[in-house]
Amino acid sequence: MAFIHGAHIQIEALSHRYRAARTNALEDVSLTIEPGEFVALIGRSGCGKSTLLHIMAGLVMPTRGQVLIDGATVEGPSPEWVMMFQQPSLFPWMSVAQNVALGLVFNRRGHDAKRRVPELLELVQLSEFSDRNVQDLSGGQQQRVALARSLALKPKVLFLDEPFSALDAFTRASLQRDVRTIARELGITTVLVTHDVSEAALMAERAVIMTSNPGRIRRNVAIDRKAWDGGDAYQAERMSLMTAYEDVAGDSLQTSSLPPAASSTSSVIQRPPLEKTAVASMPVASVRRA
Amino acid sequence: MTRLAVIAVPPQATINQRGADMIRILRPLARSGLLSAVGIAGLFVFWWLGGLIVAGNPRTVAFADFAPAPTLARLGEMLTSGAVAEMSVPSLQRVGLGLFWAALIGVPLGILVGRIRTARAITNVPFQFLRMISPLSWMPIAVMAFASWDGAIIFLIAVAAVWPILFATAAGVHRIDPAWFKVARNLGANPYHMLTRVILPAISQDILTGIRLALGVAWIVLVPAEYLGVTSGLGYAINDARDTLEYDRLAATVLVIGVIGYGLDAVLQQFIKRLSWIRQE
Ligand SMILES: Nc1ncnc2c1ncn2[C@@H]1O[C@H](COP(=O)(O)OP(=O)(O)OP(=O)(O)O)[C@@H](O)[C@H]1O
Ligand SMILES: [Mg+2]
Repeated sequence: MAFIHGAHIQIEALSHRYRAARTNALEDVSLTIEPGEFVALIGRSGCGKSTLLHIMAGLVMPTRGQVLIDGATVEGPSPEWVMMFQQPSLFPWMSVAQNVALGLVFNRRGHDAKRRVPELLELVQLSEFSDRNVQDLSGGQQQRVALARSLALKPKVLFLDEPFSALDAFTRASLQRDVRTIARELGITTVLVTHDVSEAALMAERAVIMTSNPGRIRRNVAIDRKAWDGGDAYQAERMSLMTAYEDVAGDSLQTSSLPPAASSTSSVIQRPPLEKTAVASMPVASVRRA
Repeated sequence: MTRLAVIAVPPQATINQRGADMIRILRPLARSGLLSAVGIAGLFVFWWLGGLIVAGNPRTVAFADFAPAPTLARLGEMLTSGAVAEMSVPSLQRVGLGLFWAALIGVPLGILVGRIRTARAITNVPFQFLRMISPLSWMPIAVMAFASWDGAIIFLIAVAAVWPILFATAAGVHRIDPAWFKVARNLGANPYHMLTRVILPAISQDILTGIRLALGVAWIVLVPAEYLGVTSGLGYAINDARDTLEYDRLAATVLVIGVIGYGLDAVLQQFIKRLSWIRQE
């Protein structure tokens, strides 16, 4: 597949409250993601990671603020940005190839399917499964089909909402590697939601740490790309990310009016700015409820 | 005695694996076939005994032709003369048309009711109310509203058949995994795609199950509906046989009704099985 120029994402002062909820699921979230960057959103369960991702993908409309992708406000789903979910949710009445072609059909490019689908199946190493019913596939293979389905439209952004969390460790590792490589090679901007610090260290260039009630971004941590190959670099990055994560979690329990980046108790080695000058605006922490 | 035992239980070694597999597959089939045969035989015995009792009682001896022997003899005649086809075809057409209209109305309404909560809330009471009214109670209205007897009968069948189709469809739509809608929306599906690529394939099984239930109801409503005005069909044939006191013809017609109904149901059941995307294992 040809190189795709990934999109630039700008999140501006985003707040969201679900209709039934009493507190904001997200509060004053701002973030900039550079074209082709791989960002991991990490945080405890319920901190609003999925909400943020759904808003970025245009599947949920925010209460306040906006998301700009390549300068245009997101107002709904688009073939330019697609989301992969925790469950592959393939259509069981279709073959593997038909599932992969779905996005093309929905966007009146069904005529491309004959050429594109074999290409995509090769990319996710499922060529020989083309005509099989998706119910005959393993969980990992199904998630690969979902990946191919997402890539069919040549999206500029890929949103991943814990797509590996339902897989066994071995399958997860190989899929993590492949997704990262594919995203890298195609140049797609990727936002991965995960609560697994190791996964973030293994896949992303930057981790954005969130805290809950209300959901806020507390810290940006750059990750050395050497970590992707495993080994010592990975262990070091994982450790420092873990420390930052716990630090933020501890932070959010205290009553602190300091912005987290300025917190003097921080034990995290602050990294130099990213080469791509990914500047993320840090939210100013307000007094937290006890 | 010993010889018999040897024949009945061949040494294990002589049964090869394929043979064992065949037996494993065939045994339950043979068993269910045998049990069905027992059931059918039981029904015949019951019928036959009933015939004997009727024939033995001087007050009911006039109805002795209801017994299996005269009935089956008459049925054979009716099959060769084409009488069975002649009375079945109009009935099948009426049921077919009634089911067609019921599906045409029931499936879209069922999708609306299953998909839109407000529609469900609005229609719940009226539909449950209408459903409980025996379709045959619409008969006077049907006769007034439709120019032809055929039209009235088809209307009655449709009124009876629409509810199982509507409710099965609505239940099917209600059960669709919401994630499928999210995935489709995320990939850019418009409402037309949603309907044709997601909803309809997802509920095809439910629609067919609804139609199968509707067929059962329609087939039951058909006969009394055909007692009306028309001069063709299975219901008419029953009435006609009664009027001419041909009880063997009457019983043979009842048999035809049962066999066709069973056959249609079996065909639909096979069709549902074939079309299903749900894994059986
Ligand atoms: N549809 C909804 N209606 C009301 N509240 C919701 C809804 N979806 C999520 N929430 C609430 O919003 C907050 C953020 O939820 P979200 O799903 O974004 O969390 P998350 O970080 O993705 O968690 P997890 O790691 O468990 O997936 C939670 O407190 C949750 O209870
Ligand atoms: Mg989530």
